[in-house]
Amino acid sequence: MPDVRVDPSDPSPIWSQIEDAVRRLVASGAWRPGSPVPSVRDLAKDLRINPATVAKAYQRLAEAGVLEVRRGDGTYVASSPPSLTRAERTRLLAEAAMRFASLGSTLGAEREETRSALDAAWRSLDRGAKEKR
Amino acid sequence: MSDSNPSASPRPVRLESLTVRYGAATACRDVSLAVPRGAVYALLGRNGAGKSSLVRCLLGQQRPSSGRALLFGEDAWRTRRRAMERTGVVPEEPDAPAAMTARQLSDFSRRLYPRWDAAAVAERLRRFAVPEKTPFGRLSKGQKGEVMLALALGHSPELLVLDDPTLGLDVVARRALCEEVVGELADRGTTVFLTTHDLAAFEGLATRVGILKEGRLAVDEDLEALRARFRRIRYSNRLTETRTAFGNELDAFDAVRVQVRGWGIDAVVSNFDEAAFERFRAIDGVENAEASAMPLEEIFVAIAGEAPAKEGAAA
Amino acid sequence: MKGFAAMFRREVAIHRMVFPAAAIASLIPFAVPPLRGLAGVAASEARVATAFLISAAFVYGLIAYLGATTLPRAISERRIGFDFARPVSAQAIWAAAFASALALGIGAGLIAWLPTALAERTPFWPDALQDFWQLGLPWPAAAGAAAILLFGAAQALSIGARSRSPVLLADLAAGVLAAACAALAIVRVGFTPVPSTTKIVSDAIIAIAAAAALAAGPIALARGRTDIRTTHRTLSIATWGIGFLGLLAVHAWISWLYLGGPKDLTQVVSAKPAPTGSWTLVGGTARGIYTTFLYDAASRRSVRLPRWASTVSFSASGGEAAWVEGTFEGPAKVWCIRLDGARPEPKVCATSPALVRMATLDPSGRRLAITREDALTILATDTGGIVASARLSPRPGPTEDWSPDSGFFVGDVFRLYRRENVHQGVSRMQVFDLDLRSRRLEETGSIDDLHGFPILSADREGERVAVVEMETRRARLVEGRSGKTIAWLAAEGASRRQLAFLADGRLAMLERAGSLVLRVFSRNGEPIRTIALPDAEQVRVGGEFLPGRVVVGVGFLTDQDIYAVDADSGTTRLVARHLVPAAGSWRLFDPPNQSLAPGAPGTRLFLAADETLVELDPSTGTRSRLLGEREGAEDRGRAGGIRP
Repeated sequence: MPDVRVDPSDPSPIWSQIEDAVRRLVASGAWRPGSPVPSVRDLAKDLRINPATVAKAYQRLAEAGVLEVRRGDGTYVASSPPSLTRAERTRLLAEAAMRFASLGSTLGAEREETRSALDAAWRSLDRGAKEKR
Repeated sequence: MSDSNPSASPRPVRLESLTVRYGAATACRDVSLAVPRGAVYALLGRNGAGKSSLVRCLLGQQRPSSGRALLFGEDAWRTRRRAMERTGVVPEEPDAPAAMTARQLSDFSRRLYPRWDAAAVAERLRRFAVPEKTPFGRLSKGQKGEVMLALALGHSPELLVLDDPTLGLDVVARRALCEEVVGELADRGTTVFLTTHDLAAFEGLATRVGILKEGRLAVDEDLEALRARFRRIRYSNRLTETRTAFGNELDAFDAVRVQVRGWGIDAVVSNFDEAAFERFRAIDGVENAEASAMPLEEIFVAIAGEAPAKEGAAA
Repeated sequence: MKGFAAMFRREVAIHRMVFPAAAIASLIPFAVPPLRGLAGVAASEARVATAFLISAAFVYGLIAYLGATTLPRAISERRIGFDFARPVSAQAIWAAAFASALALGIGAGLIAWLPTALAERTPFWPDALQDFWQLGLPWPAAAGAAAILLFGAAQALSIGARSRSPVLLADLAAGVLAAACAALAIVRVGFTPVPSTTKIVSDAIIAIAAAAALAAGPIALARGRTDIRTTHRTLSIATWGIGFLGLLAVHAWISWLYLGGPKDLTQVVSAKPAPTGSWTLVGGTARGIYTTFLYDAASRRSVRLPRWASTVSFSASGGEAAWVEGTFEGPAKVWCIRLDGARPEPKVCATSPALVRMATLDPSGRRLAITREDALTILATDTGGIVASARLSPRPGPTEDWSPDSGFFVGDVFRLYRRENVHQGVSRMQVFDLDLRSRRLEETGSIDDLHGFPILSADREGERVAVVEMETRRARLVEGRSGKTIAWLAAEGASRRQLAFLADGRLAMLERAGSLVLRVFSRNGEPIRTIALPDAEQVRVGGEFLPGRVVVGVGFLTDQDIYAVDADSGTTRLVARHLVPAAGSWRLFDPPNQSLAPGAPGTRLFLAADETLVELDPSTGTRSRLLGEREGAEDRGRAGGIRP
């Protein structure tokens, strides 16, 4: 399975980076629905970060429906897309949007530059999804 | 997590106004900190900043000049023996008897503790590729450190104290040690108190950070909070000829260090937030402003005023 | 205990190579005889001696080495943090270091000794060594104390050297002081030697040192932990604290010993009663110290005399006593003590830059006569003022024998008898009278042709003097003032001869020449009767318990049969056994005319063979114990008489 990576220079908290990375891997299809994900212990060892941090990210992802925990069996990518309420989806999007906007601002990028980066990301996801089919 | 709650168990580590003096010189001055259960506390500081004295007081091996060190809520000096049943220690210098083999050390330790997982210790040694039958004195520095860690973890301690554990280790050994500690955290939720120069290695592990500067605790903060409020801001000032003069525009951010470069101003600030940065960008004259997060090592340099000592520097 | 056991095992395991080394060394004793060409008994002795030396070297060498290295090196090289990071107490760490040093040392020593012991079938310890433990401790205790002290000293010295702390200088000073303190304690009890007391003190000193060694180490380690300087400082404080406290206790105990009174006497070995009255000079062991007291049996008052007061003399009234303090060369002091009053106190009543040859009190005790080589001086005892003084001309020739002068007061005259050598082996005694009113010294006569050291006895008025020559045992009666012979009482040839004047002027002479007899002479030297007595090695004439009735002790030095001898009728009666008369001793330093008054309490004092002071009435035979401590000292009651 392609790896999760964290960047110490990234201003966002590590759990957030993990969460985002997993979402990205799931969304691009790199991590297939229903497939097992690295355990908290293994991922923490691999990244040499505090397992509590990984556990927090996994918990949020499980609550969001991206991952599912099967008792005694481990953690897996959710077999079906998460069913979120509209309000939850709005909240999550708003949070991510704020993070993205802040990042752009701190990097000193102009609004246009930030928006075109967003477009480029979508295009990349589409490409990845097309390749998987 | 307040200790005044009688049903909560006391924090594994607590220092209360700890002061250590040697004659006229003061090694630690009025250091107070607490490490909650399950946390990983990284104490940073130059050599000579008082870390070794602090650790000795913490482990009940030295009496502070004033203040006290508490392990599991009790005075470390008075209840050292009891506290050591629940604590694993990896010292800066590996100090196991040179004539004993790793196997003999495990057997010896087994008799000291109520619980000793000899199989796990043997497994760890095998993982580290440490020969069981070689006398301790003849092992390499890295192997010695690994043996000390294995011995420290053999009784499944609630608290792990590591004093500069990666000093003198190569990259491979350093990584192996980190992974071992992570594994322990994942399996048992051990509380960890470590002192180190190797900020990069432990940045991922630490939940809370303390920085000793000239004996005083200059910083005692959750790592996430620390990382959230420190930024490096670079910009140029269009209003001045040299583009390098600056006035009070950085005041809102509590600038810690401001350097003037050829292209503009390079500042480290300790009180950053996005909204304030937007306002900063809108200030007349400010251009090319960008704010970047800082790895822990850079934060340390900004606070302590100098780089943490490199490997092999005199203690 | 868990921690101690684990650390003990660890230390022994780390040093286990000493056992094979000892095993190899155990073969050396077998190589020695062939190498030195010995055979037979000599070879056996050589093997045993070699094995003993090697074994002792292992035991004490290892204990010292391990004491100096195990803990001190671990602390100074900062390796002791390993032990302190584990759930073991500092006391357990120290105890394990100590116990493992002992186990390794003794174990190795035994291994080195064993083959020789089996081959020679010797006992565990060579016989010669039994004598070594003269200290009085049984050898396991002495060996154990030596191990503890050696370990403690090696460890302390090593810590002191490694800490580089100025406290080491204080240690040196304290060590010297402690050694001096200990030596002083031994000297204090050694001055009046009773071996058991000296042994107790030396054992106590060893015990204090061992206690300090055992206690100070764990205390220091618990306080100092990983810091060698703090460990050193605490070790010093604890060691010297315990040591000096212990020494203080020892000295306090010794001081208490010196406060004993006559009632504390466990053994009474000497007694000299005053001529009248109930005061007696008593010597014996009180609280383990040899002491002399002036003791009043009637009122139970007592005065403790200093060590050097040996030759105490009483006045005839029994109310004053005097003794001389001084060396054979030196300046001397004469002490006097008035025995009336609730608390008699001695005081110095005369000093002399030169040797005092005689110190004699007058019958009332108010005047004291002292002689030096060149002067005779009479002093008043209460003021110390000189009553009269006269120069004595130097004696011709060397005085080879130590001859004390003799003299006595007769009214207002002091008569001095002063011996001088005439030529080889023959001497004479000059007789002087010093008139206290005119203060003039007059030579009144001399006793000539003395073959040997003369012992003088005189009657109360000083008109008759009986002279016995010690070497020849010739006895004569001379005129007191002129020294002219009145009658010869006996020629040479007896093995024992003692003379005493009875109160009425008659002479009693105890003589042993083949058999033992008591001869009675008139005041002019005419023989009146001879009374036979059972023969014995040692005899002593006691006092007149009734006028004309004398006790005589017959038997051994400290155990005699007591006979009441009637000088008038010649009968003798066995009165008691296992006693020695107190009267009749120390004639040498008393005025020759002073003997116990008839019926005086002193005539009834006896020293028992069980080292008690006993009062015996020779008339009735009843006896009771006065001083000394003996269980079951029975009252012997009356004894049958023996007729000659």
